[in-house]
Amino acid sequence: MRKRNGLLALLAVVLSFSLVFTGCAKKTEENKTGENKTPQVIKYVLGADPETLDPGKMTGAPEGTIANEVFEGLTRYDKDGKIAPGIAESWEVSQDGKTYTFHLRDAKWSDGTPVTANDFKYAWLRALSPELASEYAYQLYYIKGAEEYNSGKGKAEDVGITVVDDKTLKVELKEPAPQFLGLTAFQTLMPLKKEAVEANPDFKVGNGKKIIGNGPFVIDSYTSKDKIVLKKNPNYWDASSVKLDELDFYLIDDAKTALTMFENGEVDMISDIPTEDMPRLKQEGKLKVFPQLATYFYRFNTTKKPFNDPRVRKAFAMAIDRQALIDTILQAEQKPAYAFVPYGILDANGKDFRENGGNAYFKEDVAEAKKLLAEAGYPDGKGFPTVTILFNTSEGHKKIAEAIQQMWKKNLGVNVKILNQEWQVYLDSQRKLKYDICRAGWIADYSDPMTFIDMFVTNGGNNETGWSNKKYDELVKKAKSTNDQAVRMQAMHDAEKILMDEMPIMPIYFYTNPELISDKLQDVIVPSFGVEAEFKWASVK
Amino acid sequence: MGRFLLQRLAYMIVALLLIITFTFILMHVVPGGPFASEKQLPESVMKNLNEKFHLKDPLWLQYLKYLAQLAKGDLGVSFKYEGRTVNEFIKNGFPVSATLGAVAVLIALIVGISLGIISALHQNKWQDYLAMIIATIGFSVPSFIMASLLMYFFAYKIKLFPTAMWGTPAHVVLPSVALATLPTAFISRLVRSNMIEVLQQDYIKTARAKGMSERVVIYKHALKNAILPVVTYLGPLIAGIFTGSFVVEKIFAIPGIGRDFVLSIVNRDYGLILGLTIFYAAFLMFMNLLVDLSYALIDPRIKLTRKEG
Repeated sequence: MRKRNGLLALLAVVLSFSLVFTGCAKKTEENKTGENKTPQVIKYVLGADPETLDPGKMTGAPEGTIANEVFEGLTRYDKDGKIAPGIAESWEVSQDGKTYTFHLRDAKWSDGTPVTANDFKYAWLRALSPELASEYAYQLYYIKGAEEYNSGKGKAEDVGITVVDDKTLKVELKEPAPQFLGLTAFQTLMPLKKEAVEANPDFKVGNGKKIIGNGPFVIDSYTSKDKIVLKKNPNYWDASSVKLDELDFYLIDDAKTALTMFENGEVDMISDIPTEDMPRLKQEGKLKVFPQLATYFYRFNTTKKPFNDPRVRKAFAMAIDRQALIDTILQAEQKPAYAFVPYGILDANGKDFRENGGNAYFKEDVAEAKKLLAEAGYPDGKGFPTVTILFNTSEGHKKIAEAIQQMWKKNLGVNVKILNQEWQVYLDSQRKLKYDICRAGWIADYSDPMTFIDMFVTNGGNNETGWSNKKYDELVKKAKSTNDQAVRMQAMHDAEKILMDEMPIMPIYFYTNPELISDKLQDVIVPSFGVEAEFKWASVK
Repeated sequence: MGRFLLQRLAYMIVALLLIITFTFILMHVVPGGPFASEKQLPESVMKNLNEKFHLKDPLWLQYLKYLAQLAKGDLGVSFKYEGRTVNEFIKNGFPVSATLGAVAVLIALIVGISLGIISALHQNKWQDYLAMIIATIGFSVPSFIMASLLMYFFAYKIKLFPTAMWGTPAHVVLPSVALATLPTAFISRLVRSNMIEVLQQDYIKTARAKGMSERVVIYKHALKNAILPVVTYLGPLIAGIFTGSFVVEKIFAIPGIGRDFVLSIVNRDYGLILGLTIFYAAFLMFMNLLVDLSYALIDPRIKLTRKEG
């Protein structure tokens, strides 16, 4: 009898606990349904905590996504992904492509004060100041005197930014850079209000501190690792286009959890989708796939045997089945890559750069690959040393590496090992060329082939293959020195051809951007590079 | 007693210094750095960053500077989350992890001790086997599976609790149960074996012989001794669980400090690594000290003074 009582008491405790908790859960749900009159609120899962809310310092796409809603640069990408007037109403570019004159519209900060040309100059010089030590200061290096100032060799006064009057900003570049216009929409080049920054140098939100912006939304509250709540900015110059009352960025970094919340209706949109759920979501018709300006590729270490021989590199690139990787592992409508620059970048004639350059610089051909390998001294893979594919720890990269390992074994008769390293160690190995073959990915910084092509110049910071080619370097230099689009693009086509002939890297596929977006959302823009999503025109059905 | 405390505090400071030194050396030895990313930064930018965070100084100087700053109670700044201090991370994250941990420890104690007593009193009967099955499951199911299962059934299938995140009491339930699983199993086994042992001791026989009621014998005399090992276990348990679990916090998107600790290492966030390691170590030592002190309260046979020779 006594013992049973003990058990009952315990049960009672447990029961009463669960009653208290379920009571709470029910109550919040009722509250939600009570005021449910299609509120214009979108809940988007942004991922981990943003590293900073300071546009001058931020580097990542999640941070950029926030900045894009809270601030607005001279230009802004429109619904079709084209550069459109932002705070600048219009602009002129000089004949030589080196001087840009921007004319600002009547725009206001979220506190009601006017946005002036001075706010841009202040923000840009701030980003360049060595004391701020912004990682993205180099995004401004196109401007005359900018690099010198940032590296401590020049003065702020010598940077080519001139405030002609409150509404006119003149920018002098050191060499023509057609991508500069698109860059003015980018976070590092967004304007800042000096007084606001000086009052809140760390860009904190809460405890009476707030961020003064000039974009479609203002940050209402920010709870670390929880969510950032944005409210419509009534002082935004184009406020009539903004339909949302509230935009919530959920800070959840576990993709699986975010997926459950999406399927539970607790959030409206997620962009980080677990690979293992991809096939199911695709089958259920929930997956929306958008293009992305990014390439997945393998680097070869061209400084040592056996990959110092271009024939070996070509043989390896020709001996895998890219479509099979996409169909069985990736499953998000990626495109096999037989060139380095992805689809979706405009050429001089307004057509696609990739289509113009030919879709393929090489083809998958096992017989030809074997021939090349034999010519290099390894008939049927005989005498070929065991080489290793290095990748950063991730289930997705591992599956691809394993499949490619099998393909090379079967098609070329070579033995390949695979090795994963933790992110930072992998970066270190890649940088110091401590690898044979190394997995890599590259996302465009701006919509121009140059963002891919100038990686592989001799000793370029992002080359990391040890490869060097004089003709290639010359072509890149040529493209960078002219404002004539036809000449620029042709030089980059020629450069890409050399890259694919020599093959220090082996392209595998062009990324896509799979998203889960609730059917009740309208006009959410998913751009092919830069920010994760654009909600300026979005609304809820 | 006073002398004991002083001695312990001195040991703690020495141990902390060793931990700081080793952590400092280790984190600078592993490849990578706080500003390494896929896209290589230009040299001038790296130079500015290194100067700003004093990474140009020789290591011994950085180490001494850090100690000086630490002496003032400042655990340093995060390198990755610029403008945020380690103290701020602890202030925001620790109360969350500690709340979650406290509920989990409570669940583990209530359920674990109850299960232990029930199985000890019903040794080798069905109640005992049932408790054993529960404990075995608790031991063998890792917390990330437990967390995922709980989320799937209680949040996704029957929608009784919110899926994830933090804020209301309802948000506490699933993660705290997931966290409590292993310690519950451990405590129940610990209590069971001790209870069985204690019940066979002479003083229990005496108590029974004196005609005391079974309730008094078990709850007043036996239980007090049977839970002594639980108290020992409680020190590290609380230290471990209060400072957060990476897995449970990640899965349930809880803004605790366990996640910060693991991610600080992945990010090579030197400031955060050092600061949080020191906090963890100090907290663990403090909890162990509390355990030792509480022995004296529970068990009069233990005295905290050293015998003078």
